[in-house]
Amino acid sequence: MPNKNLVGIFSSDEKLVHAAQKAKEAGLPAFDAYTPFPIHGIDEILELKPSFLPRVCFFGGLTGLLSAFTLQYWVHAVYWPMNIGGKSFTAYPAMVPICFELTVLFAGVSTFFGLLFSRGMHPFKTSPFWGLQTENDKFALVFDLDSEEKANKISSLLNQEGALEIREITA
Amino acid sequence: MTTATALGEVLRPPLVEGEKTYGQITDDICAPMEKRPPLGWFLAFMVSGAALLWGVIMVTDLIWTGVGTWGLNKTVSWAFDITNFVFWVGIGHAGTLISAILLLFRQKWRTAINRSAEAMTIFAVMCAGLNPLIHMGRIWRGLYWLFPYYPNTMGPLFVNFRSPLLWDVFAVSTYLTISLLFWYMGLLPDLATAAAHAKGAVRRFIFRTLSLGWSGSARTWAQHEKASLLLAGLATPLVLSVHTVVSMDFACALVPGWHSTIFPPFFVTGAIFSGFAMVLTLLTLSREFLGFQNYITLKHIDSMCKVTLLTSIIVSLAYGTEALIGWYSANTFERFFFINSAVGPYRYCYWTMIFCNVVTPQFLWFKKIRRAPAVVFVISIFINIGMWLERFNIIVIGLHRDFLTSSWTMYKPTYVEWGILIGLFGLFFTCFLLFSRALPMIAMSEIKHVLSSEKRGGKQHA
Repeated sequence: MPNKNLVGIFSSDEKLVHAAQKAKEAGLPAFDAYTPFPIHGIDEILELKPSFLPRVCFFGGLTGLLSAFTLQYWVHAVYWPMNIGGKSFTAYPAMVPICFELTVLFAGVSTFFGLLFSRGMHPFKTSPFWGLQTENDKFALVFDLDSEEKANKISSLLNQEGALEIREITA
Repeated sequence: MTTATALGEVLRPPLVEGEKTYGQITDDICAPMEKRPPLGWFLAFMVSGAALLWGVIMVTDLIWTGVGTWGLNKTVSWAFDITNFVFWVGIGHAGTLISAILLLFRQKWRTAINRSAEAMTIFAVMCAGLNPLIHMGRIWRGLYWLFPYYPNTMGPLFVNFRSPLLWDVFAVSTYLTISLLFWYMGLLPDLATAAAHAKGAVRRFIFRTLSLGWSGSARTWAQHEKASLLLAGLATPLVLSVHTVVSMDFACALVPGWHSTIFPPFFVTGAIFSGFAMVLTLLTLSREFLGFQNYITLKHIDSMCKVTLLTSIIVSLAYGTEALIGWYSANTFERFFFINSAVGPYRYCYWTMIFCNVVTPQFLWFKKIRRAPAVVFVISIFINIGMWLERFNIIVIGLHRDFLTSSWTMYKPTYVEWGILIGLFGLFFTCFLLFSRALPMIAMSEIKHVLSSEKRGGKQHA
């Protein structure tokens, strides 16, 4: 379903944060912000949910640890036990390095793909907000638009806050 | 918080010199990607390309004929190949240190250099990984020898998980993968910027595709920052583990001069030392030739020199400790290893190493020298040579005269080994030169972030 958005474009991050704050106080909370670099404090204003990536990372790491241990245990103790210098088939200390490496490998790879998955990123994706120069030096504040009346209120607020430009974009 | 700053108003942050706006930062950093490279770049590319080509010919010779083309013998069965391996893995460590550990320590100065240092890590680890591969001779059988492979058609045998050499396989391949992901993740926002800045449709499409549809939304940034922090947290113990595992290739053996508990920390510090020297070599050159003096400032070079000096002192302490323990252990073989290093047939290598790694870095005590890029460049070359020799000394001096006097012998590299060494430098510099043209060499989004936070009164965010 196409979603109508009102976008206010600002010249600096401070203006954007100020406008977002004012909009929130006025009961017209912004939906998202598009910026050239991460802006601290915007998360609270936009009330973003905390990231689930730490959990993805943890369980990825756990999977890596268990697979490394299982693989080594299975090879050395179950599938093909070999007597090396009379040492125990299940000499755990020797398993530590590979357990560590695979923990890190799985945790890292799952974090990366978790990031792509969480934001639906893939090579052929194009953002509807592309072309606003928010990758360069502009800062865009995006509002969900459901009524004409709301649009007018937001527009006047954005104008007050010194927006360079106000646009309607259908996503 | 100061009053809002309008677009076009000049900023004067200490980490970025000149008067830059966000738009100018994009222009400056995209410039080398979009305009014709300077003559110096072409010359450098021709030299490194020729070196790479020579390396390819030598490797082909090696694989065609066999490892017999090398100067190895029964006593010295490891030499240039493993020296190169340890050297290049070590070079990589500085990149991860800069990108991950300095991120966790919130050192803002890393932002200008982290992208190129990470790229350097990747190219260095590629060079490193090549050495054990070509040393196998029959490279096409590598898969069976390196990785657990099921069903194993070479007989019902698996790789030996108790061997430090196998730990190496896992450590180095994990290191390469994580470094690549970390680097690429940091590149995503800048690829979108490069796409928006590009003139041609093809360039735009390529960058757009590579950026995976990066939009710069607050939601994406929040996840991206979290993911970067997590990867930095993972990369930090990883980088320490990699050279620890590499050092175990030696420390777990019984050869005098190798069998030493000091090796893991000694190798890790040595790695950071050599890596920072290589970062200094590359950055003193590229800031000059790509016109990044305003971003890679004298302050950056100064800070990196301080890290180099510190690690040089630790490495020197390790040399001293080895000599002391040679005497104090009262172990004949340990003592002989030290004496043989200092006055034996390879003494020139040993004393050159001491000169390069212990003496030359002492010049970095002086601020004037730390802030003279040309002098720093020369010192960094000395350290590169010294650190390569350090690994050569450990490996060859350790092996050529060990327990059995009857098998004492000398090792001399052949032209194939020299050729491969030259080829590896060719590969490394060719990759780096291509990178400097093809991708944004400085993290634009991070530089803009640093500017923004400094403008607000120097609150540390980077």
